Formats: sequence, C-alpha cells, structure tokens
Amino acid sequence: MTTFLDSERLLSPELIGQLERMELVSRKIFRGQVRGERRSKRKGQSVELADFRNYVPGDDPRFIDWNSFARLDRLFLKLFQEEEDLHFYCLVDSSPSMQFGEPTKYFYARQLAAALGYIGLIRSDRVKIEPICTEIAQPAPILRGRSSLWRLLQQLQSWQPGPAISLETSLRQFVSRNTNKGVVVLISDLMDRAGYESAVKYLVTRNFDIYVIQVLARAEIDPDVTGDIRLVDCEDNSTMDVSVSPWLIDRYKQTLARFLRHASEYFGKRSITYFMTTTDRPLEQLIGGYLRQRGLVR
Amino acid sequence: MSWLPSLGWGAWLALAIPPLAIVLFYFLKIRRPPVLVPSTLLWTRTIEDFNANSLWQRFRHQVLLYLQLLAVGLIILAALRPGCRGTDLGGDRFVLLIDNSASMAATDVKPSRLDRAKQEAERIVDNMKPRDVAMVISFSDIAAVEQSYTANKSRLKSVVRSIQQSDRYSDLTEALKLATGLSNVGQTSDRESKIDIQVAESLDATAFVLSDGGFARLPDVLLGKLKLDFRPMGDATVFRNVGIVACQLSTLPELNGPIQLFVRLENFSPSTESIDVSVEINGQLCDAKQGVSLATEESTSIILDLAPFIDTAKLPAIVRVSISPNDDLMVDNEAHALLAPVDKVKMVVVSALPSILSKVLTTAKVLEAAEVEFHEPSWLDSTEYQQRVAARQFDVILYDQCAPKDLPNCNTIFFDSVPPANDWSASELQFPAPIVFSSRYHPLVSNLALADVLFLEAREITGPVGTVSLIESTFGAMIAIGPRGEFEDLVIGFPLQKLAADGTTEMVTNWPTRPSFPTFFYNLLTYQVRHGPQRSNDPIPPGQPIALATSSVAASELVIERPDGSRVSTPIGNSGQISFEDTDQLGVYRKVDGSIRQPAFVVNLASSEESNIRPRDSIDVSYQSIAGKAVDRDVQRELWPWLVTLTLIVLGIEWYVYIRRIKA
Repeated sequence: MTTFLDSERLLSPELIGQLERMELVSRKIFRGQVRGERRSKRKGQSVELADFRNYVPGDDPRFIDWNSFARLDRLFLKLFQEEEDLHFYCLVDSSPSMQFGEPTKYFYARQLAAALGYIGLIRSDRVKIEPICTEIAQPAPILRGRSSLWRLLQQLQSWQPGPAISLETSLRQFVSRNTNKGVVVLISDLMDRAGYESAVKYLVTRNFDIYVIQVLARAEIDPDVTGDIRLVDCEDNSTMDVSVSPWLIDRYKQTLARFLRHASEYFGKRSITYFMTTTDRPLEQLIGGYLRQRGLVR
Repeated sequence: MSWLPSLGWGAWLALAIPPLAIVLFYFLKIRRPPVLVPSTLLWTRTIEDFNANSLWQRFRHQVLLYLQLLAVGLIILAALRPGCRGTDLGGDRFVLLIDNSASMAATDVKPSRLDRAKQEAERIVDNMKPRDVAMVISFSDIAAVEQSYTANKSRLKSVVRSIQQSDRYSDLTEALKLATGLSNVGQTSDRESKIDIQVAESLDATAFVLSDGGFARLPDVLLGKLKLDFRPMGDATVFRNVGIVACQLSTLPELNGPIQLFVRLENFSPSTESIDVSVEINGQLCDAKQGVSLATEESTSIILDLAPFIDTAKLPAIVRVSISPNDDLMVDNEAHALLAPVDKVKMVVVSALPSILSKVLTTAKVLEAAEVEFHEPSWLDSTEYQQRVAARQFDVILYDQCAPKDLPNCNTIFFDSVPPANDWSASELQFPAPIVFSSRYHPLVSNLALADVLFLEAREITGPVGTVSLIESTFGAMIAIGPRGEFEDLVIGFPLQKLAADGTTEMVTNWPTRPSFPTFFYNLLTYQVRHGPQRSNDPIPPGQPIALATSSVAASELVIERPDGSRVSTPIGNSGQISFEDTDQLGVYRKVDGSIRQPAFVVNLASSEESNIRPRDSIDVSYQSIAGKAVDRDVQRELWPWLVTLTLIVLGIEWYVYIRRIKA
C-alpha cells in the first residue's frame, strides 16, 4: 500500500515543482496513438502544412488548395502535420546489485524514473515504467496525463523483485512486448556478467531513441575495504579472495575508469546518450543539469 | 664470498622445508571475512592480469610472509657459514711489543715510526676476534707493561695511543722476558733453576714486535709458547740519517793541557751526505766545519782543541755540538759535553808506621786524583775524627794495624786488622804464605803482576756473605773485599812491616819493592772514583742511573733539574749520595741549590745502534732469525653472527608489523 509519505520520498514537492516546467525531448519523430502535443509522422489536421497531393474523389473538399487550382487549374489537396502523443519507456534495473549504496541505487533509480515519468505525464506522453532484470508477473500499464502520477508512484513502490534474469533477456522481452517506438531510458548499473552490449542491441535495432543512465554507489567508485577479504557477489553468490591494498585499490579504479570509458565509446557510436551518475548526486541537480544538458529534457 | 661447508642433497632439501612450510602455514592461517559486494565484475577484471598466476597474486603485499621468509632465509644463510676473505692474527692471546726507543722517532715514515707502530697496533687490535685478549708492552732498554691481558679493544687502543716517545736505547730482551713470563706462566724466570713450580697451564701467545729492529744486543730469551711476529717499521728506501755517535772531552782542566773535544759522526743514509758541524761553548759559537762529506756507512772523527775557548777559572763549561741539515732522526744531531772541576778522592791513612804508605800515596799520579791525610792511630779517639766522619768528609779510610771502634760511613781498608764487626775474622799469622790465586776479574788486582811477590806470613781472612777473595794463599784468602750496605771493606791479612822486639821495623813482604805495589794503590783510588759518587764529566747514555754526591752536609735532599726544566728532588742517604735514575732525557742536567744551578752531568744518545735507523728485514732472537712481514695471513672471516643478528632484527620488525595489524 503506497502511502503519501512513501510517494513523497520518491518525489519531493520541490522536485515536482521543478519538473512542472520540463518536457521530454525526442530526437526522433515517432507515430503516436492518439492526438497529442508532439509532431507525428502521420499527416493530420494540425495548422502546420506538411505536403500536397492530387485530389482524388472522396477527399474532403475542405482541404483542397483553391489558390493552386486558380493558378494551375488542377485540384491539389493540402496535407497537414499530425500531432500525436510520445511513447516514453523507462526501464529500471531491479537486480540485487542495485540494492547497494546509501541511498540504494535502486531507490535512486526509481526516483529518477518517477521524475522522468512525471515529466511525461504532464506533457500527455504515454509513459510506461518497467522493472528489468527480474521476472515480472504482468507488464506495467501505460500511463497518461497528470492524474496518473499517483498510479505511477504506487506502481514504483509496489515493485517486488522476482527471480533475477539477465539484462539481455529482460530487454528482449521488453521489445517483444512493446512494438510502439519512442524514447527509452535505461537506468542500470550495467554490472551484468554477460555484458550490456548484446542487450542494448535489441533496443538499437528497434530504432528507439535510447538514453542510458548508469547509476553507481559511491562505494563502487571508491571501495572502502582493506586487508584479506572474501568478496561475495550478491547476484550469483560467487566468491573471490583478495588481499586489498592501496595498490589493488588503484588497480580497481583504473579498471572502473576503463569500464566507463568503454561504455561511453560504445553508446556514443550507436547514438545512444549515456552518462553515469552516483547515488549521492542530488536528483534536482541531475535532472535540471545533466539530463537537460544531454537533451533528454528541456 | 664462500660457503662452508658444502651440503649434500639431503641437507639442501631439509633447508628448503622451513620456507615452504612457512608459506603453507601462512595461507592456511588466513581467515578472510566475507564482504558482500554488488558485483565482483570489476574486481575480477582488476585482478584478471594475475589470474594466470593466482599464486603470485596471493604473494603480493604479504609483508609478514616476506619478513618471515627473509628471517628463515637469513637463518639458512647463517647455517651455511658464509664468509669473506679477511685477515687473521692467528691465535687468541696477543702481546703488542711497541718499541719507543730513540730510533722510533725517525720520520722516514710519517708522522713517525712510533706513530706508525701505534697505527699498526690499533689495526691488530681491530682485527682481534671478540674473545681474543691482548696486552701492551712498551720497550726501549727497559720494558713496561702498559696494559695487561684484556679483551677491551677500546682500552687497548687507548693505551697504545698513550705510549710516549723516549730517547733511550732499544733492547728487546727485557720486553721478551716480560712477554714470555706472562705467557708461559708457572715457570720460574731463572733458566738455570731446577725449581719449576707449575702454577697454571701455559698458553700459546703471539707477540707482535712493532719496531725498526735496531737492537743494541741480540735477545737471548727462552720463548716457550710465545710466537714472535716481527712487523718492521720504517721505509728502507727513503731514510736519511747522520748521527753523532760519540762526543767526549778528553782531559782534566787542572793540568792546563789541551782540552780536546772528540766528536764522531757516522752516515747511515744510503747515499753520501754533506753536513755542517758547529760547536758552542756556553751558548757561544766557537768553531764550525762546513761541508763534511760522508759516504754511506762511513764515519769520521773530529778533534778540536777547546783550550783557547775555555777559561778554566770559570768552569763549568757546557759544550754543545750540533750537525745540520736536518734528517729523519733529530735526537742524534745534537750532543753535549761537560767540563767541570772534578772532586778528588778524600783519603785518610791511620798508621803507626806510615813510611811505606806515605811514599806510595804521595806520588804525583795519586795526588791527581786524591787528597791524602796521614794520622796516628790515637787520632781515632779524637773528637775531630768523630766529627769529620760524621760529616762524611772522607771517601776512604785506611787503617794500618789498627781499627776504629765503629765502622765509619765510608769505604775502609784494613791492613793486618779486621773491621770491628762480628762477621769479619782473621786467623793467626801463618807461615809461609805463598800466593796461589789472584782474581783476574776484580779491578783492584786484575792487572797486578804478583809473580815476584813473596809473603813471609799472613792471616786467613773470612768475611760476611758476599765477600770476594782477591788473593789467596794455601790456607785461604789473604786479601778479601766485602760489602757493607752501600760501602765496601777491603781487608788485607798481612802487615807491610812490623816492629821487632828491638824497636826496629822489619819487612814481612817484598811487595812494597815491586811495581805492582803502587799499581795496587792506584787501582784502589781509581776504584773509588769509578764506584763512588760521580766524579767524571763523561756523558752517560739515556736511562743510566748515576751516583751523585752533595757537598752540603746539612742538605737532606738533592734537587736535579732535567733538560726540559722539570725538577726532581731525591732524599740524600747516610752516605751523602743519591742514585739518580731519571736520566731519560738527552741534554744537560743541573744540580739546584737555592738559586744556584750548577751543571751536574750530561746525557747523550751517542749510540751507533740507535742512529742506524735502517729498517731491519728480520730480527734475531735466541739465534733464530724472524723475518718481518707486513700483512696478516688471509683467512675465511665468518659472517654468520651478523646474519643471526640481522635475523633477530627482522623478527623484531615482523612482530611490530603483526602488532600493528592486530591493533588496526
């Protein structure tokens, strides 16, 4: 049962006030389902002229361009740009590895998803927020309109992690369920043993406008461990004996930097907007600064 | 670096077990606390470089493991007895015999031979093993134990550094006697003695003779378990020295004859030297000779008549002879001679029949050396006799057929009487008394021709312990001389003449008519001169004691000023004489009486052996030649004690690191 306090914890009133003035930006033009505020590939009845075509019997005579007929003595029909709604998908990594950090990466990711979803809702976009990397009993509903905010928050609060599945499997299932193209924001730590490359290909091939936000805990960037320890992976319970020393910490940081650099290069080549954030970065700063800078919101 | 001893396979395997066991136990003992992490993905990639050799990864940064392995490695190294090439002194008891005689002041090696000997001695001390003991003996013609056996190296080096240069002659004998006596303990020092009380086990010892080898005489010492190691000091290629090896004035001023200065120079350098000689009298230059050329090992004599330069009325005069230029040994470049009036022997003859004695004791030859008084026997009872004897005014008193009540504090001669003491006795006159023995060694009678001397009768003389028989007849000693404290009593067992019943004198012997008779009395006086207080101006060698007399009856001590200005006061004995022994310094010694400083005697080096500073290649001891060597023998020097020490330090560090980890 979602309470007001829980919801408030995901989105503070100050943040909601900040989000009111924002909208999601898509670098691509997609077909919507209903009329909305975004340009669509369809030709429709907006005020913006898109093209002309020959008149054929049965066309609505209201759209005949009488000026052209007067000059050319031929009938042309005016086609106008259609404005439809936008499909906005937010995929939140719900694997056990997201349960680390202070606050946890999972909480931070849901906060971010709620914020982006709220922006979509107030702009009448079709918002769908789904957990990934876990078995889900039923697909998340598509929400639309400001009034769906409480449903959105309730949905985020009510997620119960099921059995873990790989990122690749999870995204494959997602694209098979969701054929409508739109903006996809993937919020994950990308710490999948099988790698994220093969998983992201599913999104790329479906021509989504993809944003990848990697969330890491501070402890992952600057590990606070030392001595002879046994590392236990929380996802597969695999162990690893290490003797942590300053030298090894340096090596770890080098590996992390290499990992982030590779992700940046990989996503950049595929026109995927990628950036990394840590859980100690304020959400207001992230959305108002970084996401606006990267073009996800404006 | 070498290793002792070489090991077999089994031993090597056994040595390999401890480090392997440490590594094994080290990893067995690690309990790693589990730490839950979001993903081991990055950790795996971090150490994947080392996955191919995961064992090596585990070895990294295991400081304790390294320290433990290092400690075991050091112990194994120590067990292998590593060593390096070093020098060994050979033995564990050492005697450092350091020559500080005059020749060791030579500067052919800088700063001097003695300093070089000290450096060598300190090097020897440094090479001593921890439990070795050593003693230090400095020697010239006398030897002094500077430090008895000790293992304290700093103490030994301090003692070595404190040894002072002396101007004395060099003689190894005394030092060797000391060294052998201290190393061959339990033996008597008298080689001829049959008594040999073994009080302790003799131990081997090595004596390092740090000297230039110029000894006045060859040591003849039974070395026993003492092994000699001669370390020659000096540079045989560069040394230079010309020395004054003799300096003497040859006459007495009373004769108003020539006063001859005799100087002998000798060149000990390996090349010809040109030298200048100067002679000063009381600080005034009176004569000089320039460019005296001396080939190597050549000597020359210089005789100068100093009579024109010396006013005999203003004696004493100090003659100083010096040579230039400077060479490696300076102490023999200067010598002194003293010209002072000589005290005559004061002799008293107490005789009822002085005719013969007065003739023989009033000759010009005798009067050169003696003042002789003649008195009747009744004079012995006079107050004058008592007072003058008490005032020590006589050197010798001759009692002819009489004797005093008490023996005086001077030498005595008794003719046909015996000293009033229990240990002297004389038999009745015995007839005949042919001479059957005459001492060939005692200076009183050694050169007397007694073959034509006849004695009708004589007494047999027996004296105290130490009495020497000079002339014997068939029944025993006719003339004997015996000691009495610092004096001597000469007892002659026959009269020269005696009163007959008719009141005339008759001769008992024909000796007064023979040439040997005045010779005997002349010997008597010269014997007094030589064995009495110093009456000669001859220089003495450094360190030799000299008997000095005071002219002041009331004085209780005699103060002598040494050449360096220091003063030594010595109590005067009953005889009015002292035996002065602090004659180490070269130069003029003076008697001090209040404000009067009167030259007393001079000490000159004047020794060909000391001036000859050529370093010897070997020394002869007890007819064995001991070659000099400059280096110690090469040996394997053990390093394992250092390794064990290092191991303890490593273990200490390991413990510190371990404690810090536990606290952290």
